[in-house]
Amino acid sequence: MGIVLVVVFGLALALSVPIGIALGVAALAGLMTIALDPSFIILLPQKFMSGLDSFPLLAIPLFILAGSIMSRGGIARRIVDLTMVFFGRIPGGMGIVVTVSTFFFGAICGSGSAKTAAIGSVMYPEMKRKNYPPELATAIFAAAGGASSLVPPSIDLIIIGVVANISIGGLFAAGLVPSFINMAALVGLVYYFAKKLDLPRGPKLAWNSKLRIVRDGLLPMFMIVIVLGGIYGGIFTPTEAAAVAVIYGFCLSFFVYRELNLDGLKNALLQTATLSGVVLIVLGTASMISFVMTFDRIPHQIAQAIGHYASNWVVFVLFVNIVFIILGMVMDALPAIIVLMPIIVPVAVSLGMDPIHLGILVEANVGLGMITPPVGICLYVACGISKVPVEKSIRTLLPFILVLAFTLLLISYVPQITLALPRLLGF
Amino acid sequence: MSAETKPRAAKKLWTQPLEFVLAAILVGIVGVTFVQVLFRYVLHLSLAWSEELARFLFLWLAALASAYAFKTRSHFAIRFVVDRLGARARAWVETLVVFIVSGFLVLFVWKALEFSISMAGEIAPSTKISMAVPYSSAWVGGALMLYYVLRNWRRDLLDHRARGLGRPEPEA
Repeated sequence: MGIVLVVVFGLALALSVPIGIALGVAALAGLMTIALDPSFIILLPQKFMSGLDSFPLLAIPLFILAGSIMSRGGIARRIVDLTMVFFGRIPGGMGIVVTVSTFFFGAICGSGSAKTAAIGSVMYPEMKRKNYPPELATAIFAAAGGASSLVPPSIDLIIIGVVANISIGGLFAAGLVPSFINMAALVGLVYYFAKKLDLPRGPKLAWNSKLRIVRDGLLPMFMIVIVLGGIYGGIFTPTEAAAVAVIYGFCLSFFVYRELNLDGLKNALLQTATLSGVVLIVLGTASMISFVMTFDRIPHQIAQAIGHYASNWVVFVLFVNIVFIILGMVMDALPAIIVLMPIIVPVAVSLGMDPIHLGILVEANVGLGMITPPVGICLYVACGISKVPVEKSIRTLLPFILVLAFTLLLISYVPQITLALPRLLGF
Repeated sequence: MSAETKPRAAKKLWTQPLEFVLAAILVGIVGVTFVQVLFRYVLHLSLAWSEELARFLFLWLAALASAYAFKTRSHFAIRFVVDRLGARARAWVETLVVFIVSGFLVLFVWKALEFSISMAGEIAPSTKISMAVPYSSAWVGGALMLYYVLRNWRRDLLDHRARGLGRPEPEA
């Protein structure tokens, strides 16, 4: 049955059947290899529902909505302004501001491509005016968006937590230090380019305008404290934190900044619906395929095969990295997370790994996959903003990919980076 | 995840039933979850029904939002093979894809309906409503997906005919 699943899924994908449906079609084909009996098919909608029926998953549309409201309500711009005050005058300042503000914006918005879009569209006009090289700007937008996928409250981390039964709060805590390392590495690379190419800096600001910007930027920053502090402190669950984030973001952009009107709110809601639909159908149909696979004990066989070749965690981690990098390059990583995580977590545990570490290193791979061609969503969004053709951006992007591959290895092989904080917080 | 889409701004929300329902469900989920937090910390009461209600709203959101993503053509599909085909071959492949997707959806809707009916007697523990209510989202959503897939296909065909063979621009 395994071969049928892979062939049907691959063929459907190549024909450009949407991933959500391709997974369903493969699940159907797999089910029919067991018995050609239509009365079995009722199991598919049943698994579709049970795959989605979980309270932690509600955090997905809620964090998307929070991000969507805040990028319309002038919050992205205020975060950019705030980082400009602190980093704008360093050589290459504007690129560093992009990187840092993408990471901070990531702490209130869960999706990588949305971060790239929000920060990129605020920064690009200014960078263009100052003759920042467009290819480099594009590469920075994309790299920052992908690399910040580890910043809590990342949607992928929520999904990893739900399908592999890992504490989401623990994953959120574990993502913090690795994402800081990613950010520092990217800032270092931008600084190097800035020295070499003598890149433009941000504008000089008077002290009183600096003070005003900092005061203005404090309210969005307080949001990060509420969301992450609330989750880490056990005050509310990630789903509740997401609802609080929506209400806070709405009040801030509607009543305080007055940059969100009812039309903007409507667009934020509909954009959230679209993005949620794209993610959730994959969650539903990937649950079908996971279920069908258990009939033929495929998860067991995969786990055994991995165990056979990877006798210790070092080899196993290398194997996981290779599989997820390849998958992340050719397709959206979500189905791979949903189908493979529940299979590889027990293997990891049997090799002495902490499941939280595995979740974080898989997500680091996913982030890298978001910027690698041919299928890298952050790359496409970044190129859409700067109008640089994808082919032309790849050369400039390469050093960024290499730096992130290096931090990925660091995250993979030094588990303490990931695990120190969640252990400290008691997850 | 997938590409950003900009909904057409001019139309009023209440003239578009699917959009209206989706927006209402989202607001509902935010409201119910927020009320749950408020009750726990301000009134020191744990609500029994809020989590279940939010979950049921979410199941409807998932199914209807998936259909909406078909309407706005936002679903993630791998196009780099198809985009390298000639116009004629591509038209054939696109028709084939419509048949595959609709075939799957027809089966899905039929079986999801059967599943909802079979669950009608089950009562949810805290909201005391029939489980057919949340589970009906699957067949309703599936039927809407089918509708939008076929509607987009028809529009593409008319478009192709009007402009000769060329790939239609994604709407929205």
